[in-house]
Amino acid sequence: METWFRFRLGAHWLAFSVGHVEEVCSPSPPTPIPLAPRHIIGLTTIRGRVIPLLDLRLFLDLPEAGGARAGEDPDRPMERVIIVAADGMQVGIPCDQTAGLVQVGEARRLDAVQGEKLKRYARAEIMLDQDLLVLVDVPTLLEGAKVRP
Amino acid sequence: MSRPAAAHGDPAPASDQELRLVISEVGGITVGIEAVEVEVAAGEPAGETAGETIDLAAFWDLPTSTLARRALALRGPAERTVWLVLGPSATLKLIPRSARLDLPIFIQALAQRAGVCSLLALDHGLGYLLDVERLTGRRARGHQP
Repeated sequence: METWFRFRLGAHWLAFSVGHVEEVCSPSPPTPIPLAPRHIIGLTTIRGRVIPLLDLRLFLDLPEAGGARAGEDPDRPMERVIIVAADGMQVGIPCDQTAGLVQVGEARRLDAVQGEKLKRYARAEIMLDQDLLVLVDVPTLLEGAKVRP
Repeated sequence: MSRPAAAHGDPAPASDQELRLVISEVGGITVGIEAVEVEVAAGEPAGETAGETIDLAAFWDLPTSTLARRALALRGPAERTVWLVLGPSATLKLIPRSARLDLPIFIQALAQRAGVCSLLALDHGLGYLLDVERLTGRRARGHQP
């Protein structure tokens, strides 16, 4: 059994292995990063740590639930940001809803995931409460989302 | 906390615990520049005599007013004059060395591509310490990432 942290991004339910989740917080408004691709929102500080923010919806090409890019709309502050860590990297990922922990036994690829990019970073999928829950591999995700030299 | 340093011409040395930086803003992004000597021009340099010029807003593809911008002439270890076109304000400040922070690994390559060598934790938020040598080198290579 492995424990996963479940959250919603638009119409998609995703989960990160709890071993990679440090906390969920409401960060200060982001500082833009020069030359950053659109999926990298900016930098924020959380208790003295500088954390880059990743717009996972944009990075994975998931359809918008409506509204602006995360952090862009002052009427939609980033209330829930999941701080994940892997391979020496810490990244904040804004989400629309968190739903706590879920224990997953045997999970496998169901080939039900929509979207090429999401498929690339999905370790497995399960059906939970009639929703497809995609278990996302955090180290692969962060490695894929970071900008290379 | 930062403290204002002397205006141009005042030697006001930084202590071992401080960095002497010019702080400015480009398209809403705060930047710091470390240089041995800094001369602030009222406007933008013109003509070949101005030396090498880097328009940071253009390089970073940021929207910025073409009015009321300033250029800094940086004469430091590069042994040549580099005019750096910035926002309308440029203030010489002494910043504690502890305010200089490492770049997070996730954005290291990106920041270096933008000519940034480290972060600055300033009174009003985060800023970027520019690596002028990297910026000028990039310009020489035609701004290729």
